[in-house]
Parts: sequence; structure tokens; C-alpha cells
Amino acid sequence: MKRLFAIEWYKLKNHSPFWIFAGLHILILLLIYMSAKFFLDFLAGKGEMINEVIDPSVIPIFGFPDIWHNMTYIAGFLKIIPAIYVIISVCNEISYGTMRQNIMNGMSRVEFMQSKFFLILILSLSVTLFLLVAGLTLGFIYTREIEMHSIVKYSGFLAAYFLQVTVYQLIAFLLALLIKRTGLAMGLLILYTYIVEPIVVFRIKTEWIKGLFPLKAINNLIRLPFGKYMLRETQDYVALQDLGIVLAYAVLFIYLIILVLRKRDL
Amino acid sequence: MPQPAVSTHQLTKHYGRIRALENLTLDIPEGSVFGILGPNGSGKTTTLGMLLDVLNPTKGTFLWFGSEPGPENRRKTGSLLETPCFYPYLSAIVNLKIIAEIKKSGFDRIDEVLKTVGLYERRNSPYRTFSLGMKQRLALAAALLCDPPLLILDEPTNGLDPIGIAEIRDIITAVSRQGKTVILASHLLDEVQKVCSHFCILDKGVLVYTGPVSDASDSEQRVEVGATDMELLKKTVVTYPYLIRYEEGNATITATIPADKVSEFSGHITRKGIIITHFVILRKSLEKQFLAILNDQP
Repeated sequence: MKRLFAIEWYKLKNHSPFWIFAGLHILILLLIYMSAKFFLDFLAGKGEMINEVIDPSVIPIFGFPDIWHNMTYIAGFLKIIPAIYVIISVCNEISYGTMRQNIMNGMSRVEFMQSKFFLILILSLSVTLFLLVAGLTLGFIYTREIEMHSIVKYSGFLAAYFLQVTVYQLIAFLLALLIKRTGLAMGLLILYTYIVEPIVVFRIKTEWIKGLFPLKAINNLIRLPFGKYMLRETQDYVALQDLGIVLAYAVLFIYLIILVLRKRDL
Repeated sequence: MPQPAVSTHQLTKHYGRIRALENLTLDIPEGSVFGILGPNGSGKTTTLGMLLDVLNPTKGTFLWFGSEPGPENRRKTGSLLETPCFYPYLSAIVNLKIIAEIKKSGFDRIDEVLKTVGLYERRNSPYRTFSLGMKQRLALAAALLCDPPLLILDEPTNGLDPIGIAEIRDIITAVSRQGKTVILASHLLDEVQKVCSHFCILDKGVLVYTGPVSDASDSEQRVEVGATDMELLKKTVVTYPYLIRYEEGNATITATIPADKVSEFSGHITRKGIIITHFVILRKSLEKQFLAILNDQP
């Protein structure tokens, strides 16, 4: 295991696109979190319409415990970034011929898959860790009265976020293996994520069927949190049923990845 | 009988309707330098690809040193298939470190193999800055990295200059002198003849010949004879009991006879009172043998 991690880390640490993607990801997250507060203050200064309902500047979006739900929900929009890096990495292995070479040198096909799982794990863990640190920092700044139980409450959303980005990267891995070309695989992932599935899901009326589509299922782990500030009913927990569907998808994608790797002539 | 390093049993690969390899049953003796010869597209790389688990056989099995193939076997094999494949943005050293990790072989031989192939000075340059010959040298360094008992080389001299080709030949000879097995696929007969102890010939995916190199070049001998009386010479040659075949040239006759019968053959002619004006033993090259074997195919 340590060996496969070491192999993947050698490939990763000298690959400049990895650092560019990581930097970009963190920069965008920071910008969003920093600007959100300004945006709310800006809203507070505008028109009475909003102010009649609630004063936006007192909304505790960055206070414990709400911060975990809010942050992870926002971060969910950027899960395309690590997924694209996974596509670049896997497609490069194919076009450089290094996947084939690794196997000739004595990796098993399953070990190759495991080494890429380490890549996915590194990406998911580091962004989750970033959210943890950023969340604690912002939380301590913006919470008026800090209590231990409120810090921990809702922190399960971090785990949900970890699962969300991980499973999304599994989709990217599978797609990269099937398509083999970086640009095409990226295009298809973006097309499916932002156009195909949203349209299909939009046309379906029944809620539980919507939840069966992979992206919808992944996104359902962390549902829109902001409704509660407008006194609407909001699901502020990860439903077991949503978790089950996502885990089932994870198993399916891993199975398909093994299948493709086993059957293919490299 | 010693166990073969690699033995295949009815190994077959079809790509749709294309039959890349058909029922290959072959034993590669341990300690041999085994040449796989064949024209382009004859199934050489397909065979090696299946041995190295990058291609799934349509049918058939193979054994490594008598045991089932697996990643452990490949870790103890140095291989170089077609073009060299490395991470272009990584230096020679880091690329070799990755391979050492894959092979579980430790980093202590990295400097040594880089010196062997003459890349030590460029060890920290990214792979993409290498010339084709240097890439090929790095691939050879990678193949030698774990000091493997079996070396699989597919067209190892591709893209190398004459010095590089000679160096590869020296490396192969040195490796085989340590009792290791080398499998060398090539379409360059000269290359195979110079270093190989055994060889086989593939044609359109079918094994057409296998045996030691010495057998192939020594079993038959071509002799060119000329005499003042060509009529009588021809009559004498044709009636020679061990004659395999003959061709009539301009002022000579070329007779193919068993290799150990050359002196007896000349005696046979002179005893008839023929004055020989021309007697040349033609060195039988593997190339002629190769073409002869291929031409005998229906």
C-alpha cells in the first residue's frame, strides 16, 4: 500500500498542473468565502424588501454550527476541479504509454487502479482538510457565543463532502479510462454534469426517481442549506437513503473500472 | 532436461478477424539468448505483449520458470517493448525510482544502470528533453534495473546509432554470460545472428521454425564449384549421393550439401579426374536461411 502511494506521489509532486489545479481550487474557495460576507453586508444595505423579512447581515452563515453545511454545499460546486485533474492524470498515463509500461514492469492491473485511488484520496482528503481548517477559522471569527457542541454539530457534512468529491472523481476515472483522450473526456464530463443530467432530471416529476441519477444522488448528500434563513423547511442532515444510493454508485463505478482494466488490451 | 525460462502452449491472439498469433507452442531454454524473428506484423510484439500481461490471450497459456504468470514474475523481468514509455515531465532518476518502487527492488542500482547506458550525466534532465537514442537507452536502463534473470527486448536497437547498437550487443552478451535468459525480438537478422544462441521464426502469426542458431547455419553448406569441363562437373555433382540441391550459375555450379561433407564432396569430384578451377565455400548467413524457410512456406 505504502509502495503504491509512493509511486503515485512521485508522479504527482513534480507535475506542475497538479499544483496549479490545487492552488486554483483553494483560491476560488477562499474568494467565495471571503466575498460571501461582503455580499450579505451589501444586501443589508440594499432595499427594504429583504430587510423586512430578515436582516441579511445577521444571518449566521459562517457561525457554528451552520457553517459546515453552508461551506460544504458551496464547495460542492467546485468538485469539477479535482475531477478534471483525475482525467488529466489517467489520460496521460494512457497517452504516455506509462500505464502499459507500469504493468509490464510488474504492477497488476488492480494495483494500477489502487494507485489511482490514492490520487483520488489525496485530492479528496486535502480539499476536505482545507474546508476543516477554513471552517474552524471562519467559525471562530463569526460565532458570537462558541459552544463545543455547536462546533461539532453538522460537522458530519465534511464527511459527506469527502464522499461527494470522491465518488465524482470515480466517475471521472471511469470516463477517462473509456474515452482515453483528455479533452474529449473533460468535455463529456462537463456536458453531462451541467447540461445532460440537469435537463433529464428537470423533466422528471417524481422526486425519488430524480434521486437515482448519479449526480443528483451525489448532490443530494448535501442539500441546499439557505432555505432555513427564509423560514423554509430545510434538510440539515445526510439522509440514509441518499447515502445508500451514493455508496451503491461508488461500488458500481469501482466494479466497472476493474472490469475495463481487466478486459482491455493495453 | 532443464526447465524452460518461458514456455507457451497454443498461445493465440485474434483481433476481430485478424489472426495476429495462431497456436504458438514454444519453449525458451533458460540461459539462452532467444531471437524471435519475423517480418513486420508477424506477431512478435503480440507474443511478448501477452507474456507481459498487456494483451489478453484469445486462447492458450504460458508458464514462467514453470509457474503461473503473475506480477511477481514481471517484477523479476526487464522488458522493453516497442517505444520507450516514461513520464515526460520527470527526470531520468525519478522515472527509474518509480520503476524501482514497482519492482520492489530498491534504489541502489539506479546510478549503476544509468552509468551502464551512458546517461549518468543527464540523470536530472526531464525525459522529454532526451533524444530518441537517449530514450531508448533509458528504457534499457529500466530493463536492467532489477538485475533480472530474464530480459525481454523488442527491437532494442530502434533509433540507436551504430555505437549504441554495438553497446546494446555488448550488454546482451554480458547479461547472457551471467547465465541469464534474453528474449530478443527483431526483424534485423544480423542482430539476431550476432548475439542469439536460439531463434524462432514467425510468419503471419504462425511459428515456422525454431532451433539453435548453429543448427540453422551449419546443417547445410553451399559450395560454388567451377571446372574446365563443366559438362562432366555437372554430371558428377548431380550424381553425388548427399546432394541436397544445386543451382547452375554462369561458369559455376552451386551445390548445397550437408555441412560435414565438404571435403568428401571435393574428393568425389577430383576422383573423377576433373580439374577444379574454382571452389568457394559460401558462408551461409541466417538471412539466406531465413528467406529459404519463409519461401518454403506454402
